[in-house]
Amino acid sequence: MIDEGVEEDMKLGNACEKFEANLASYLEGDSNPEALSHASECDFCRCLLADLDLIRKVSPELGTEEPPARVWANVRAVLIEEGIVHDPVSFWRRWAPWGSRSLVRHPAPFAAAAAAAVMAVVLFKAPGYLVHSNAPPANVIHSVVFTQDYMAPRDISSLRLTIQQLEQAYRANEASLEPSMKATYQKSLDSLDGEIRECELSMKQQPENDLAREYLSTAYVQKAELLQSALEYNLR
Amino acid sequence: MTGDTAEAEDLTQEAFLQLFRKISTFRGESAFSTWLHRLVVNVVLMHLRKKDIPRVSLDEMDNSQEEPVKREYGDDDRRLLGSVDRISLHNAIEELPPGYRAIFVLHDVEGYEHNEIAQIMNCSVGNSKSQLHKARVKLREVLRRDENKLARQATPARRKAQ
Repeated sequence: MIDEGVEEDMKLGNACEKFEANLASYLEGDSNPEALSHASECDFCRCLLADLDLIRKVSPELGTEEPPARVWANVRAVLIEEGIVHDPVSFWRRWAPWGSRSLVRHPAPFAAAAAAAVMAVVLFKAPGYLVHSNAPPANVIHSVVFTQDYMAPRDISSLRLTIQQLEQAYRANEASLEPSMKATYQKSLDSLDGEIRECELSMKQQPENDLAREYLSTAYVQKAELLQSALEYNLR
Repeated sequence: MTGDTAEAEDLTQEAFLQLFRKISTFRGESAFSTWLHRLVVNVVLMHLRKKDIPRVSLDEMDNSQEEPVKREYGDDDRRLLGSVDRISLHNAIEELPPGYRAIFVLHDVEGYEHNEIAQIMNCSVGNSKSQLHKARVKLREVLRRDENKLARQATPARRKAQ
């Protein structure tokens, strides 16, 4: 004859097994009143249900981890290397495709050389061709100090304002320039204006693009120097 | 799936490279996220193969690890602390076997459905369900073990203080 307590334990054991068998589907959202009723009678099963429910509810809070930025940088570098994606062609690469890899890393000497070339054209051609006139002197050209170092947006906007004033003065005097000299200046100005437009577009698309910012400030400096030299020769 | 941050970063990188290389093979037969997950799982499996780590198919694992929930006498009415914190849960997940871990993370953390997981992990829906349940039970065991450990460490300190 089986003891009453043992019989009770066996019944409970069977119920626990049944509960465990149904537990997964219950946690998946299947309605199972029998499982719930057993959980209210059995301490172990009640704890098991509560714990698994807790794990299920807490887990979504873990969320997913974002890989560090270097992973994306590496992915991009490999894809560019393999030719699967292309770097947007920037103006300096179109300007200087032969040296885009080596010069872009050191833009300052490249910019200085470009500025010197523009200046050389102007200086060597100017004395012979310049026609002196009685045009009013441009007083905006005094004390304009330029730097080719990195410029914060505020400096770029003040440089832009200075260039506007220089340009107004140049336009007021350009009629007095000998036609071929005027054409040379205009060609250089058009080229610099194109460069400035491309830099501004790059910066609009990628405000964090330091290289575009650096080239923009260099182009502004070159334009200011070009206008300044034109006005100075006009005053002679 | 790897349990190692640096390895996970390398595999993430490789998975995204594969994504760009193989994007033209995506035919829209499944959701893009499912296709991408499948691709990631393949990258990880290839990596494990290279490392010569023995892999057990999910179906084999499901049959070999049928075991009832462990019952500890005298511990029946003790539940996990209501506030299972993220760190202890994260650590417990890392202790799960890779198959359990993948399915648990996909379902309970990332919110994928079993039919999607079945496609990603190349197993049956039933298998995904049963693996998930086992993963949760295993997690509970690990969390309880860690809680017990903490409780044992705290008791002598309390005695000393008294």
